[in-house]
Amino acid sequence: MAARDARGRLDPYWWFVAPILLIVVFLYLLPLGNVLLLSVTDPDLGFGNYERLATAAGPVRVLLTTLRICAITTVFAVGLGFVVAYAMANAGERHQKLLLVAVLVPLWISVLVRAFSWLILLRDQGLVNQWLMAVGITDEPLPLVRNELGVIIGMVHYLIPYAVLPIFAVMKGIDPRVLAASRSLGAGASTTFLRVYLPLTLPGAFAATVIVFVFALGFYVTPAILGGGRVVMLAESVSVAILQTVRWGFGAAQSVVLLLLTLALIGIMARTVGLKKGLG
Amino acid sequence: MDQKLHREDSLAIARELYAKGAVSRRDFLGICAMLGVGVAGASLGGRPAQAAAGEITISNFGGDAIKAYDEAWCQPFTKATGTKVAIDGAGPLPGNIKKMVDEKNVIWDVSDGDGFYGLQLGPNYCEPIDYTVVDKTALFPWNQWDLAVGNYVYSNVIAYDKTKVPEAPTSWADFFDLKKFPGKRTMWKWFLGMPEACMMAAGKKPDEIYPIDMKLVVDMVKSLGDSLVLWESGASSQQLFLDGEVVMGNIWSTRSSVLERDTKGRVTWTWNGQIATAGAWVLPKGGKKLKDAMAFIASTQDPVKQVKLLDLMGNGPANPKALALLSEAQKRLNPTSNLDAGIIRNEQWYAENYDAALGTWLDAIAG
Repeated sequence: MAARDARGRLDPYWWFVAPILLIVVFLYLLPLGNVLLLSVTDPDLGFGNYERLATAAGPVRVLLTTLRICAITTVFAVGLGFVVAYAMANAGERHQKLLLVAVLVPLWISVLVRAFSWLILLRDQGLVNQWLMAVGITDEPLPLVRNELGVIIGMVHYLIPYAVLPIFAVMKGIDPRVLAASRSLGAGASTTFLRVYLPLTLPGAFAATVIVFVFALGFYVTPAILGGGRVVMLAESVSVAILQTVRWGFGAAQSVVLLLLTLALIGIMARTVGLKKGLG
Repeated sequence: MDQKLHREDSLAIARELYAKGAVSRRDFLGICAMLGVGVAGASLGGRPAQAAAGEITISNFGGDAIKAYDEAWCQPFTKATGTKVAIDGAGPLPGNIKKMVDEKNVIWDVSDGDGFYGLQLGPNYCEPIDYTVVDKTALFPWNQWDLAVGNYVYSNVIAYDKTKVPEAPTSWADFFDLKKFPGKRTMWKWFLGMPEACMMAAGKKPDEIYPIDMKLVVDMVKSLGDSLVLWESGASSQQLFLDGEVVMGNIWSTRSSVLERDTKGRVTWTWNGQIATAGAWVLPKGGKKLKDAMAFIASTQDPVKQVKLLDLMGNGPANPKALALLSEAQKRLNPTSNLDAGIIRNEQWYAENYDAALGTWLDAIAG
């Protein structure tokens, strides 16, 4: 935060950011403060909402479901993203561009459209199950959707690009001469990959993990559609509290938990790999 | 607010096209209806339709309901009183009403909703119904409260796919009988009208349904295991049947009649065990046009207009006097002509238990 230069004057570049800072304060931080306040004042003053969140069976379960789905999603999205990024980093220039487009195009398609597409593919009478039964692999439709599996498939698909991009950025930055040096010093291909290349990509992988996990925490549409109503995650639980049961204090408390989890994860990233490096 | 501006803008575009002859009068009127503007309000002469002194805004759940309310209720009211009625189809959930009142920015003079809204939100959020203007004798006794008043009756029924069940199911016990009726069945994720089905299936008599035994409801629902699919919107309940994914469902009667029509009778329903429910008007606290709003509510009680809504949407009249006007074909589609076959949902129970019970329910279906 080098806001002032050597002579103690404010760095003029801060004036460019000032309007945005003001907007953030008024449109974001103030309402956020209101949410915090609401969580300890509605319906009664005190920490009743948080107590309920930590002890009542339903809310605890929603929290655990959310964390479990986010963790599984993150493992798969980052794992698959790593493979895609590796292919991109090592492909020829034309293939690399093609792959980049293939990664980016899904990003621009509405999350709603993607969720419904998965539903059409995976449901009992869907293409996948029809094919499986036609070929004779199964006799009856597999439960691929309207459960946690469906939610995870949809979320992994949505989040892979967010994993690919930071890992790819880090991989592109690795100096090939380091790898060449490793080989010339007698290390085999797999040793070079495991002991030289992999550790160098870790900041990217770690950043991808945090980004994907944070995104996954706030998912609403995908679980609502692909979970078939049977997978309730935190964001949806907030919406129920606000719109239907009119327990705004409780909804606010859930939002605060969501926010704290997110901040904690970003904090971990900032401490370990650094925000700049992690985000490429 | 945005929605209103957008509606006016859309209307302006439509009016321009109509003036140029690019759209027919018929299409123009169709667009007006879709935008929730009465023909009088749209004024073909080119006068701008603005929220002026003589206009009230009502809210409903959107979709086909906008056109139907406009035709059955809003246009006749405008014709009779000169007061325009705009419809906001944004979906009047209790939280939306609370927000509006808390922010002292009450846009909806009258809001559609369930009977328990008034009981749930209370006198700080809803205006009392003025029963000197609204006619009590034009309502079923279970259709009137201090802070809400019946506008129509809808119902939860057993719908089934004739080609996929060995015989027609006749009770909720059949609905839960996986042996006799194998296949998936669908229930509503959002709970209302579901616990009653579980209670009846467990053998409770109509007068033993309330208070709901949530433990029993949880057991019943869990007994369906993976055969349970949940629907979220009315449209999705229809889609599940159209795609042939479910053999039975606890769905709204309004949807079941549309399904019967669209599938040429492949999907049908029984009134046995129907859970009739009072749809209701509520007035968000602090609305500026209470008198007009109350007059509008009273005008919707007219039996002829109530039957019109039945024709357009399958919603049953909340006015018992309308029953005498119905043809046999209309009676077949009308929940209030078949009240003997089922029960009436208890709004008081929902007002008192919705929060906790919904939590328990979501937990059970997610497990």
